Amino acid sequence: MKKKKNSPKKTQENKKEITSGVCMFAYNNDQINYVKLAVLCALSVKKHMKNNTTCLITDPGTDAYMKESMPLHEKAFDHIVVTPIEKIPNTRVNHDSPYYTFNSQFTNHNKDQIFQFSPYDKTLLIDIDFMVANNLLDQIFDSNVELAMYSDAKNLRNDNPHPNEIRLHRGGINMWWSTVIYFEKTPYAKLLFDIWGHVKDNWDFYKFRYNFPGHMFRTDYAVSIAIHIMNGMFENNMVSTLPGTFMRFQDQKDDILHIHNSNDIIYLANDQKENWKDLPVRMLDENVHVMNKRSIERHYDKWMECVT
Amino acid sequence: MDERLSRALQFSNYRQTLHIQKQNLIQRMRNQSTVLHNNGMFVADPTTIAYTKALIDRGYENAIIIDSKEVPIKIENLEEFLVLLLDANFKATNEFYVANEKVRRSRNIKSLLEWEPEQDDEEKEKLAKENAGK
Repeated sequence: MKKKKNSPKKTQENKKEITSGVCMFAYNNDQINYVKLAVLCALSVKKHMKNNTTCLITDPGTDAYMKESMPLHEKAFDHIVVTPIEKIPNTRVNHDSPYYTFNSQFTNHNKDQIFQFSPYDKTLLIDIDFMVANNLLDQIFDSNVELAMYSDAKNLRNDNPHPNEIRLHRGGINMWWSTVIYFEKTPYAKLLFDIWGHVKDNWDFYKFRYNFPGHMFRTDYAVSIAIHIMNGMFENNMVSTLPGTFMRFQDQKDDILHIHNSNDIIYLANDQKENWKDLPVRMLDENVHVMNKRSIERHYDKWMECVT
Repeated sequence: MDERLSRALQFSNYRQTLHIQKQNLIQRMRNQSTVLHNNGMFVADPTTIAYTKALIDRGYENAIIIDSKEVPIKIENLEEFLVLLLDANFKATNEFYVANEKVRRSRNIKSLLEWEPEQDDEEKEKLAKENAGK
């Protein structure tokens, strides 16, 4: 049997080492300590992934607070990009169980600038509440994919998300989740982030044009519109799906019951239709977008023990 | 509440948790069956394995195979590729089997989760009284 060796030709370009890593944004506010969650998130990446160089993008205030009060940040982050952030009012209603809500400022207006901020050639951008518990996402770094995201998601009960998180409105375009974005620094990927920035700058027009609900600036919607425009206004596979068929998420009304380990967590899944009902669900070796941030804070110490 | 109904609801909750647990195991098995080869993403399922073996049996050394993202990938060495597929498939299915056996043997939510919530003093007292009554 013939055995062909397909080693790449050594050229000048091949000598340059390709860097890869995981980036995340964190801007503290009076309600949520984002950088505290970012440290946990980064340490989870370091524990479970092979491509585990991490970069935090934050503002001077949050950076100073982190350096003052969180010695573990040195272990969690390999790079820190500090950039002043314009305070644009963007209020988000957060839930902690079906019975408690609170409002907080949501700073997400510069997420489209990740292309400039990222120090890596191959970047995985994750939200600080996306808790990595396996090495599945390592696969994307070894593929020839330039741009990948999740377009499907399922909650802890294996149900689909709210209809507004499947399509931007009934009969509207597909929603892509900006929770996890993989990109290579290519002109093609840059184009997407540029369109995303354009959508953000003309938010009211696109809100009217695409007819989506709410007043909050949602990066999921902005990136979905950018993909739709880039696709030539129809649905195709220009943007790849990340490994795994969907993104698992914990709803804001769900809770965490117990942490066996960083990859073995028991959640309390709330019934969306009958809010007084809950079910315990055990997640083993699965990445979960933990939307109820207060639930992470309640189990923070135990979770940190598992990743350090 | 009628005791029969209470037991039935308890069993119903157990069945729901069991169902979700099994779905999660299937998802884990699917994730583990993913094989990355020559920049293509393949699923090490019986169809891909059988197709690769069929090509080898027909005397092919290399072939174009469409990956799970609908991208045509040139597989230079089908034998090597088959080994990768079988490895991933065996690993995923063996782990699925072990986890499924564990779940199958669990007859209540407590053993499914391998966790028991801490009881407060009032609950402990109530439980002690109930046990004493028996």
